[in-house]
Amino acid sequence: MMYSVNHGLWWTIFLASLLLAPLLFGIINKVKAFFGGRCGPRLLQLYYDMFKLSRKAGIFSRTSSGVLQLAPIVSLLATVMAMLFIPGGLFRSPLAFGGDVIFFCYLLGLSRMLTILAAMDTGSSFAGMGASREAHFSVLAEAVLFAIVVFLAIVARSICLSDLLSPLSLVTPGISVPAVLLVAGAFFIIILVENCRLPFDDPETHLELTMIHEAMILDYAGPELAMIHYTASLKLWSLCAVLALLLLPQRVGGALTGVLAYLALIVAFAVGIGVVESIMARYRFLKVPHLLVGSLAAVLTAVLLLLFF
Amino acid sequence: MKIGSCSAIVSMSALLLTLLVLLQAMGFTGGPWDETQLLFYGIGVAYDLLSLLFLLPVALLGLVAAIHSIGYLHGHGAARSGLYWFFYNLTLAAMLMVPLMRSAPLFLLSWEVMGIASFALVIFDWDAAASRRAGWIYLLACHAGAAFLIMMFVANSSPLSPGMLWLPAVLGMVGFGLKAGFPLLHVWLPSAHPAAPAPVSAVMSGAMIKLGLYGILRFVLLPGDTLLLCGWLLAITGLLGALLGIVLALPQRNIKTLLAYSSIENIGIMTMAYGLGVLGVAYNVPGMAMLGFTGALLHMFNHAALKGALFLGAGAVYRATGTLNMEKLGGLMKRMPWTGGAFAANALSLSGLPPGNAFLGEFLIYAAAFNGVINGHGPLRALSLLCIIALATVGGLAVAAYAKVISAVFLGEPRSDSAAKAREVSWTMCGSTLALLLVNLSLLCLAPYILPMFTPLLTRLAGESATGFQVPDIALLLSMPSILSLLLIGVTAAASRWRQRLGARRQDAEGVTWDCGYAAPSARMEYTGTAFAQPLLDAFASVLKLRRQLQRPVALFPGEIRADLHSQDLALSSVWQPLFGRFGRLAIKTHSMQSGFLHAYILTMVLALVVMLVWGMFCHRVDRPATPPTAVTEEISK
Repeated sequence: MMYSVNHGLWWTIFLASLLLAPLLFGIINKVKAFFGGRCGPRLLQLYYDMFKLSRKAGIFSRTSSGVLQLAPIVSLLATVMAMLFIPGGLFRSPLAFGGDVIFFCYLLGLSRMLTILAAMDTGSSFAGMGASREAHFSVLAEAVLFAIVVFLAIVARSICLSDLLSPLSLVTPGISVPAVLLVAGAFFIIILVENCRLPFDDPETHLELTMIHEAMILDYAGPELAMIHYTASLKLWSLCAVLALLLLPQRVGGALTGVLAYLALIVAFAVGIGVVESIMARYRFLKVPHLLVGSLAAVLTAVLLLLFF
Repeated sequence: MKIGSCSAIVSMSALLLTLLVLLQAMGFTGGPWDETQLLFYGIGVAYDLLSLLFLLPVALLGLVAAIHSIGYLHGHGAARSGLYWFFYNLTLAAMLMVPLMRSAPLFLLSWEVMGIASFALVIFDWDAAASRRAGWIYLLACHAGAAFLIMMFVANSSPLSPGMLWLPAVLGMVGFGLKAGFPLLHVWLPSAHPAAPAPVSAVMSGAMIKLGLYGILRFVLLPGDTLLLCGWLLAITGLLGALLGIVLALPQRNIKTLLAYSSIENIGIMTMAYGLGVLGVAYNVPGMAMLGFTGALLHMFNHAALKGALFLGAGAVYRATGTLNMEKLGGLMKRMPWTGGAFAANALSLSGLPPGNAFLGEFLIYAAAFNGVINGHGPLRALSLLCIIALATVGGLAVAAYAKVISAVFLGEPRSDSAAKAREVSWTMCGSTLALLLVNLSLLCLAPYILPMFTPLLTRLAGESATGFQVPDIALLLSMPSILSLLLIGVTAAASRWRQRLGARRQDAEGVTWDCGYAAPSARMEYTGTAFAQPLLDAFASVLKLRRQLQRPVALFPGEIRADLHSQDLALSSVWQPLFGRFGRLAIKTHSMQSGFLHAYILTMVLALVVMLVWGMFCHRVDRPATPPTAVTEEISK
């Protein structure tokens, strides 16, 4: 059974994910508060923050030259465009085309490049540090991401995201479960790196020297900061959605159960991230590449398992 | 000087128009590859689709760089400008001849003229020792390449035993690879490009090094047993070249050196794509063959226009500030908005990111490799997997390298007085960069429509087996990213316009960059390009032979503190310098034979003759008695 084609429902789910994405940060913060024995910010706190910020006037560094202003817009649009290719629940994306997975990965890359350039545009040494670290980690993350795509492409015999994440692909006889688990684990690590979560980057640190993503956006305020928060939540949502589709149980009853299972899995990953952040400390920067190279090795092992067992 | 510039501009515009007309005529009506249109019958001058496609970057960059040269040469004396234009036109003429020559002597002649004329352009700034050294290395590389090519033509035309069929292929690969900048053979590129004037670098990097790939397609990739070998050689060389090029680009401080290493990377990507195409033919994976060749051709055009524009932009920066050292620049976006904007857009595109045209070529190359992973078997599958991961890593590193260039040169605060005083350059220099940006934008829009023009060439390259996978399929595949990229550009433009209006209404403010409450941040507190790249450099420390010089703070009131990172080119420091050093020492040892006595020389000659005589006798003694007796016996038997 392949994905069913229902453009109306797909667009509904797409719009719903645009609306629901900031909720994930609320969930993560609630989980962390629970582990810390605190009450924590409200579930909808990010919505309030974004609303408040979007009504303010902007303020830009005197050093900057327009890139600072342009970057949040491009990042946001690129991330939204990337989300257009994710199949919603059980429904094929209407914009799916052969090779859209490459486009998807590179759109996320574009968003990252613009954030790096904007950081360098402020001339701040902290922003420079963050940008430099981001560029370093993304090289390895990109390689892992494409290795995962190779694994999925071999299974699905296609390079269209809607085919790659087809629920059929992982039930095909002859695919070892350990391989799937290795890939899913590596993808979870990619989610953590790409969204600057612990153990790679501490989103709550108060010391500029130890920041990555937060250091890059130190000079943003007002509507730009709201856009950046929103982009971050969309990116987290889209990567969690991809992993959810990868692991979705093969025979979910009707369309409604399928969509509910899909949303439940995304929420589960947010809870998982919250748990990871509560029980782990940030890695030293020098150790981060080791973890990424390790996950690349895990994916390559999975490819070997797929081809030879 | 006026005559020189006018002739270059007029002839190149005429050539561009001619090429477009010829391509229009040949492509769509299906003028095939080898049914060559002979210009001068009998002496081996002819054109076909392959020649025309490789002539297109020559004409385009020849024209645009000539316009740029007018501004670039402003202030140089008439004598030097005259020399420049003479050799510029000669180089262009030779580059025009190369794809049109079919017979070996004529081809080699134009190839050599191209090398020597461009050598004169490389040492344009001959007062500087670095320029002379770069020119010397370039001249050596040209002649070494030509030597290999002569051997290749000789080997091609002589009957070879079946065990030796690989010889011409390998000779050709080395000879043409020296021009194209294959890994290890690339050493002339990073020294010649910064030495040459920017328009010359643009022509050399955008058009000339691609003629090396043309040579491989024309003379090395011959159908037959060597196809498999060529495919593997190309794919692996390309893979290594792409990785080595971009890793070596990262630590560079000179803009043009960095761009030169990036050319090595892009030539690597193209070579890898050709390799994938050839392997697709050899292993009968038609989709991979078609996608690989198409991707390589498309990336060639994209790289030509993008890298040309980047070198011209670097030239504009040099003319405005007097330096190419990134650590002395910065903040030029505000001072040179046109040049800066065009440079940033082109660099963003060349790093392979979506709304840029280079993405389309890389997209096809990715698709080719994925096709190999899905439909291939055994070693082909492993190679395709490696290619995908290498492409992803190269993409990430290219993003880092270009982020470094853009931010160190154009963003932040100026790091020197000359950068702070920079002004926008003259309209010839600025306009030529913008014109190439326009070409890139049209490549982005038109790529799906241009591709059907390559059809005869591609079917010829990908072989008759590629019937299942046609060029229109690829064009269709490309149309989605192309349309979506344009959409992204359009929506971004509209959104940022809207944001500016909103900002005007709400009265957006300006402030000081946050530096932990320090209110007077200066350019000395900025992150430099080297600092930006340092974590990645550490990761590749062994390849780059990274040396670190630290002057740590001492005492309570420390004086000067310094941190320097130095890297070396692996090929130069571990291969060529030791090799040539050893040859040099060996050559010095033969000095003892140079006694100055005529008698000694005659004695040496006689001895050599005797040795030859003995060697000849021993070698041919077996054969000579063997043949006549058989003839005799045959006659007797008759």
